[in-house]
Amino acid sequence: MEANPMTQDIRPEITPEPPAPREAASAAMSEARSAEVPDTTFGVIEHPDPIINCRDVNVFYGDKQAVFDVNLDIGRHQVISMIGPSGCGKSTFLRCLNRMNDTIDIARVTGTIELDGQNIYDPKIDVVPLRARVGMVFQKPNPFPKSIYDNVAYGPRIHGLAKDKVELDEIVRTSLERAGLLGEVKDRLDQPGTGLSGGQQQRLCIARAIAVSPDVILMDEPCSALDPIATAKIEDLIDELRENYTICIVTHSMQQAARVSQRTAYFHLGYLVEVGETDKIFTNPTHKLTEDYITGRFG
Amino acid sequence: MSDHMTQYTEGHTVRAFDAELEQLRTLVLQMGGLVIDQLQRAVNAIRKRDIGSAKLVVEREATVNQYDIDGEELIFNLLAKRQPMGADLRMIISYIRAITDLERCGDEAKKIAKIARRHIEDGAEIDADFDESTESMGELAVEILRTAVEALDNADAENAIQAAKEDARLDAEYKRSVRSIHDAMISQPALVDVAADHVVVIKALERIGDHAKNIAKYVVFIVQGKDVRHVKAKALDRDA
Amino acid sequence: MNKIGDPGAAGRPISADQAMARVNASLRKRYGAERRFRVYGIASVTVGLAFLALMMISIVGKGYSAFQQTYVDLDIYFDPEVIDPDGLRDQESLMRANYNTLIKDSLLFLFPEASGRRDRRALGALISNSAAFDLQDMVITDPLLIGQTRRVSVLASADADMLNKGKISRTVPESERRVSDQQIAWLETLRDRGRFEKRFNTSFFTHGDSRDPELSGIWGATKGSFYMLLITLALSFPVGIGAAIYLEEFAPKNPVTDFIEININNLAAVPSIVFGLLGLGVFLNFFSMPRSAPMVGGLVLTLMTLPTIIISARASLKSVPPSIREAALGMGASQMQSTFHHVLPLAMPGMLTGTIIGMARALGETAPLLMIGMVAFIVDIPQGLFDPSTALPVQIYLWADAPERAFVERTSAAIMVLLGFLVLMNLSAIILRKRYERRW
Repeated sequence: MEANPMTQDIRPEITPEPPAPREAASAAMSEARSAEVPDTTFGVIEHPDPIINCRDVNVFYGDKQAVFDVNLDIGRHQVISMIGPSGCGKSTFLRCLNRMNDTIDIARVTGTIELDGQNIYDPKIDVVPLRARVGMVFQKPNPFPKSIYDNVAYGPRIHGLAKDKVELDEIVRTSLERAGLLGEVKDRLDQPGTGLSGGQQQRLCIARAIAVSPDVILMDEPCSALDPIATAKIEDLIDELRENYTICIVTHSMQQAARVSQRTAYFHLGYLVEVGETDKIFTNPTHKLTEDYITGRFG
Repeated sequence: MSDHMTQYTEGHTVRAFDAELEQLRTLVLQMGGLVIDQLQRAVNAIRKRDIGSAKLVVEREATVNQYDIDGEELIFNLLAKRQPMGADLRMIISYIRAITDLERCGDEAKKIAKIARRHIEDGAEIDADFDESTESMGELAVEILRTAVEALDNADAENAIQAAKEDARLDAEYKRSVRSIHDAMISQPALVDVAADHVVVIKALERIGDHAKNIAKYVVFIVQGKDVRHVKAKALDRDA
Repeated sequence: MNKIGDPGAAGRPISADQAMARVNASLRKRYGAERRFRVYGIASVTVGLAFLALMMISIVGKGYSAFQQTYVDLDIYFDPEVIDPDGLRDQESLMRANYNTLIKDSLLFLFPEASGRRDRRALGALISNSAAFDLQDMVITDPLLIGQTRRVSVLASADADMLNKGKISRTVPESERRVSDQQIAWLETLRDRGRFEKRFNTSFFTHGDSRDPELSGIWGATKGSFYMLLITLALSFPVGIGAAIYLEEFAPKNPVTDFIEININNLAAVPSIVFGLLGLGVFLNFFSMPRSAPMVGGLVLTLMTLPTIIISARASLKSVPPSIREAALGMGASQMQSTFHHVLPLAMPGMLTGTIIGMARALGETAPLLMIGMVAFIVDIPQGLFDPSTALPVQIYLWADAPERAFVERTSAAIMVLLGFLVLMNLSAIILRKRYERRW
């Protein structure tokens, strides 16, 4: 018997012939297999219980178009993750959802984004209450250089949510509690938030966002500046928050998207290529671009 | 739609991943080739009283097992290091199952070879009817296994479905053979020993057909993303 | 050993040994260059420090003596005949009396040989003109002094002071110096008798300008500078910070704001004399504001420092990480809440630093003040924003121009005071920054 079976020449007579190109089964199938962005999004864009409906959303930066005709429903009390290579428009799209793009002079958004049936780009809509309903957590933890307490209390204060100090204390406490931070900071609420570790800072930002009782929390790569343990804590927190909030998360980590979200949307060159249940997207995506991206063939 | 298994192994940004998937593909292909050869030789050993083949098959069983061990280790490492997704994940999961199925086929081939060796060493008489059913079933089993392994390497769902359907023929042949052995045992009680061995042999061939069918279904899983393990072969190409 | 391009070198263009040899060969050159550069740097720093030391030594060497002033102890007989021959003892006659006679008499008592008119005058020139006024003050506050003899310390004249401080060389021929041999002899006699005394020069810090160097001081100029800086600070800080906040946080990015930005940057580089001309044309000629007034000076310096303050304030606003703005806006804060709650507190130390540095520049500025008449000889201490006054640097300029020997040390002393203020202001800027700066 040979010592190493691998060196044996036991290749069978199977000669894998170079396959002959076959006729495509259907046009849709061929489109799915091509590396071109599709005209319409693959998968199911609708959701039975949507909180946000986006229709024909286009975003322009000056003459440059960054997002093309995105149609997407975001389900209530669900985590939807948006993935795609850098510059694919996922962050830009996310920022449309609470009109953060308004802060950029040259940005222009067309189409409709309805939050519970109300178009947020309606000229009558005021962004201040909108942003209270749709909170945001950013890539780099950005607590205000104030005390932990003031960080969380800031939102309720400017929106006048608390009637008195007792109520404000309660809001701060529950927000920190929900963000899983209370145990770590309850003895030093008067210390600066910037003195916390990166992961704690990010959870502080989440606490700050939920202090104004939003319906939706947008997260723009919330873990990209954190170590794996801090990342795991945030992911666990996201899963817990899902009970009360709708969460849209943009992430560069496909594993993270797979871990935390129920639905996944894949963006490419400003187009929403495919959207579907996370389990389906990561095991058996329909479109070739999605497949190539999740299997690490580009991006 | 599908071209060749290499389209599933190639094109990753991390080229080391390509190399590892290619290594896995080659390993399964070699293992498949070896197991087909084992089966072929085992059937020949029975039919042609070829003691050399019988011994070789029994000897090489260890090599088949080594493939099983190496393949599983390779896949462990791949899963740990690369966190495969999508088609990569389907391919790797299918390959680990295919390796198991091939290893079982190897076991069955060894079983046949051992019976052949015993027959030859004992100088037992073989009934011509038995011989014929061994030959036809053996050929069919080799054919199905070969088609399945080829389909796996070609990522060819159509041929895979074909192989899966062929298994029905093998099953029919098996039933027919069992019945005829039954009849023979009643009419010729002296043949009972040989007949019992023969039942084991054709049962092994029937099992090999089942394993080959499994492998064929994995091809469908890789290519179409559908889990068809428990779908009847006849229903396979209904919406392929 | 592999050769270059040898494929046996496992894909390397040159072998490892060769690479090492080449690296080692180039190391000596690299270290040499590094050493040379270090030497250049140290040499530059040394030269710079040497010039600074030279300047400081020259200024301090010339100026330190101005902080002391020579006084002469004289036994003054408050002669009732001279002060108040009529015995009225009323304010008016006490005011009118010739106190110089008392001093001359006292000197004549010491040097009876000086009998001629010329000698008497030369003797009198040893004592400052202000001595008579000091005696007058003494008598008016205490009329009982009349008829008594008191040892009074009177201010020596600038010439006597200079001689005492050794600033007048005795080797120079008599005709070429302001003090005669006779006067030198008298002064030496006075010194030998222990009647010379050097005291801290308080009048330098309490007086305005004067024709008599021993009487001149910087208080008038300091107060003028203070009023001007007050105006400058009160106007340029709010206007500058306001403009910076608007431009940085609120203004849309368009050609108009770009144009404004370019203009601000250009204004910061405009020579200061141009601002002086502008002040002359606008504030004096058009608005008919008074000349030499701290108000006008302050306005001109405001114009001059505004661009600097705007630029530094914008820079400190820019240095506030955008993530803070995003965080506030993302919470639903309005643009103004985001700016005033979060951005401004973080930018404030930088803005204050910029303002203080701008103020320090304004404090040291002369050229624009020349154009609006602040270069005048003004004795009175300004009491308000519209009183004629001068400024510290202008005072230095005036004194530097004065022919009297004694103004040389005063010029340097004034420079020292000005430098002291500048160091103080810059120090406070550094302390502010160190103290309130936040790090990310």
